[in-house]
Amino acid sequence: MEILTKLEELILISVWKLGENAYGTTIYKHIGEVTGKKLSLGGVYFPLDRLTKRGYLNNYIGEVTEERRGLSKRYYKLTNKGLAALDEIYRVTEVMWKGYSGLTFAEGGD
Amino acid sequence: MKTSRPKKSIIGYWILSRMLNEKGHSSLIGDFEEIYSEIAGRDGRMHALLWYWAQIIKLLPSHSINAIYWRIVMFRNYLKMTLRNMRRHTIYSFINVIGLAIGMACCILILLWVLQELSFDRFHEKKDRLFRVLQHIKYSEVVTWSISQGPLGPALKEEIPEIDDFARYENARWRMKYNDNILVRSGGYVDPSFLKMFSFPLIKGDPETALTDLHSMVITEELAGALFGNEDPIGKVIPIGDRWDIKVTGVLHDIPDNSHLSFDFLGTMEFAKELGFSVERWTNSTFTTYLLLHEAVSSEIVEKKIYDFLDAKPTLEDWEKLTLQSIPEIHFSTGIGYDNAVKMNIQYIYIFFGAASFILLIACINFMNLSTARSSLRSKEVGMRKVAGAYKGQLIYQFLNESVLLSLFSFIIAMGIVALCLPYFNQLSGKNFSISSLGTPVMIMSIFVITVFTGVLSGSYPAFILSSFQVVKVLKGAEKIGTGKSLFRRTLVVFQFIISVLLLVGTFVIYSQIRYMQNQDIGYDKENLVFFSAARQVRGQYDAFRNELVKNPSILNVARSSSSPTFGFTFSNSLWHWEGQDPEEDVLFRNTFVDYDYFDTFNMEMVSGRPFSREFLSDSSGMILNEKALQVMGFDDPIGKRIDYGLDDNLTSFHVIGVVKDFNFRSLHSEIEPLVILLSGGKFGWGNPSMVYARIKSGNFSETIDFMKTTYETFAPDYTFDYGFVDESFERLYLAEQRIGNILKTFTGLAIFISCLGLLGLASFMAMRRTKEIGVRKVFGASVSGIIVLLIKEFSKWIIIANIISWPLAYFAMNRWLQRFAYRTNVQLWIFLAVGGMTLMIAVFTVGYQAIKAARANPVDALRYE
Repeated sequence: MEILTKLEELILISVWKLGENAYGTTIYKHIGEVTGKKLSLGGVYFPLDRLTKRGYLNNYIGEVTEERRGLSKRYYKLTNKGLAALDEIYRVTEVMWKGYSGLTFAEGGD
Repeated sequence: MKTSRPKKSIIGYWILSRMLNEKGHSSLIGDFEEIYSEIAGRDGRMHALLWYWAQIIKLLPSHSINAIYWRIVMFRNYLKMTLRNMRRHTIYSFINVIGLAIGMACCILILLWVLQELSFDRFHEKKDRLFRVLQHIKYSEVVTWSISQGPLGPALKEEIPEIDDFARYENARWRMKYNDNILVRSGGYVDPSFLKMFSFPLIKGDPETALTDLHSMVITEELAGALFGNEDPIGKVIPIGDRWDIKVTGVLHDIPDNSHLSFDFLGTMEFAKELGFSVERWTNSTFTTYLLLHEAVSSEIVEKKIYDFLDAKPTLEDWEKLTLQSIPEIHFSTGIGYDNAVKMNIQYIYIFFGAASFILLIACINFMNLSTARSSLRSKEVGMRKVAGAYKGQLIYQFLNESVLLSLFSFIIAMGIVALCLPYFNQLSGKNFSISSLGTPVMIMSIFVITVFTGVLSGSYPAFILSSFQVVKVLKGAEKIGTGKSLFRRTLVVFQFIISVLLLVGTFVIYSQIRYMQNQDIGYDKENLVFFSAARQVRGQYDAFRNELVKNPSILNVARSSSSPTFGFTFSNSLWHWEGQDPEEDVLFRNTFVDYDYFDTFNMEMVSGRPFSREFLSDSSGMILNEKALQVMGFDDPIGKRIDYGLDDNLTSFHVIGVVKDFNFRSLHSEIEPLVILLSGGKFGWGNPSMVYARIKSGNFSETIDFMKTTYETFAPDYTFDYGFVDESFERLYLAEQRIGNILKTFTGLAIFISCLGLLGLASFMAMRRTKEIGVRKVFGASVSGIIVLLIKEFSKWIIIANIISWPLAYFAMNRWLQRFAYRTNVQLWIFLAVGGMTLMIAVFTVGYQAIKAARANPVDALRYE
């Protein structure tokens, strides 16, 4: 199993969470809300492409709305490999974080 | 919220779609639009716009890295294909690369030359404020001189506040001596301000004070080395001529090649005054006057002020007008008399630049022709690429890439050629370039542009043709592209030969004009005539010197004159008055002084009357006219006519004793002008002219010259005998034309060579393509010679068409060039016929081998696959 970048992990999780409604805009917004960080929209798309190419995601063309200037949505869906990867991520993270109960700072004062 | 739909960002949308379109990212753009609308609805349009643009900027780095990555991948593939193609078709590639390399090398060399010519006098820091005074004087027509009166400069500076400073320049030729080292060099007398106005920096010495002392001089680094070796020149006092001691007060950097003034040393104007130059007299124009204008003052304003100032001076009625010439303009100016500036006719720059670009163009045409002709060989590759999904744009890019790569190879070879040919080119052009001259930023930029331009130009047409093949046809093999008689290709070949023919005719005409001028009867026997300038000691004992010389039986006669053979007059004005003269007309007469032996020595023919003779005492007031002068004066019977010289009430009378047949006393560029010949030491004075002419027997030149040298040096020890032949000095007048002829000859050779390379390539290709046709013809009984003729005829037709088109063009162009000569040959018919014959012959030879090979091939080989 390949090791994914943090952003790729976040995107995979988002696609899973958003379910039927996972396309560029929603993924971008979801990650923004959860992390509180400002990503670039293009920055979401490159990992999406990469994950698609490596077989974690599938995509299909969706409907057109007025705000999109007549350009269609591209929906993403997890493949079996993607689902397996999600499972793996969760498992690994859990193992890695075992025993964690908040951080204690050794140094006091300044 | 009023509007239901916020406005879109047009520019941003456009940029995004440019960046993302090619990879089918339209849905990403859609996402952008969606979020944009949302932000615009919530926070207003400004916020939305800001967000949009920030997104675009964030997108840029990753986008471009991605694009560059793919470019490199494809580029590697294209490079591989290029190299493979080059290896597979060695001859074609060789023709292309060599042709392009020669073309580029020509362009680079010519560019070097042109840039240097254009840089003339631009190194002066104050070049925008520096002007030279031109004098326009009205005789029968207006003549322009670059010289003016000595007091003019100081007077103008005094009168006109816009003039910051002035400097006068007068030519000097000094004989300098240091220990046993004797040198004769050219330089100038200048005002001290000269060094401050012009950017001729001093290595040693102070420009403020270097030329303030009467007997001081500054010398160039080169002269310092030649004179003093490694010793420090500053403070050295050396004898100049026989009477003066001059102190070296400064050393100049060597004068750059691109300066219109060239000198080895500078003496002071005060010293010139001491020597008797008319520094303070208004009657004589000998100085070049330079003015430094105040900053941001236009020269027109100053010209106007000068005009008003002169208008107020009634004594200077001769002066029609003074104008100011900007220093950088001097180099290319024409029609200025007494101008010693280093000059270049700008027409030659156009001619050479044109010739070099044409050669490059011919090479590019070769490339186009050969690539399109061979396009069928690559049609499969194109078809495969298209099937694999290549866009037309990508294919165009690939072929352009290929041609630019080829032109890069050519560039490397071109640099080699330039390096090898530089000495030869220097000799041709009379310049002094080195490899390092190529290193200037302008040069590097230009070379880069030439390379890329060549690649793109030669690749554009093939790229367009090759990329537009239709896949299905190509892969089915139904369409054989490039085999037909392409009109375009034929036009290009004809065009190549039009250029070659033009250049060839030009070269022929230039050479026939040079030969015409050299063989022109100039009115006297110019062969076996030696001349030299006599030192003061020789002039002092001239009679004894002459007696010594004529004792030698090889020396037939010796005479003196005040002028050189190719600049045959000493002064010129319009102060002659004769009976029946039209008072309105002012004719410029040239005047020279000669002695009794002059006409005999020169073998000049008298039209009427007689030459000067010792037997007639009255000849001291005698004068001899040339036919032109007689024509101006309009006498029927000139002999004995009184002619007065001088201003209104101060006249001296002379009488005509003879009329000499017109002879050329200047270069054949100009017409023979009215000439008055006076007796030296006669009523007009000028008793001791300096030019000595000796008529010698042909054969044994060196012995006779040795004898003259020994005699001369016994009379004037310390002086070198510096002689010339009159016919050679006339030939030297046409050096510029010789040089043009030589350069053009080289270019013509190259143009023809490259054209023939192209022809060779095309011919071999055609022969290959027609193998089957030839085989069939032979089977049906065609003879070998019949087929050779068939193949050659095809090419000959093009050459003949090219000749017919370019003859009238060449005729008009060369006729215009010949207009500059007062004595000129015609553009003769034989030149055209010779050029036509030559090009045809060359073409037949080029094509001939291929034709013979194709015609002699066994038809079985050609047809066995049918």
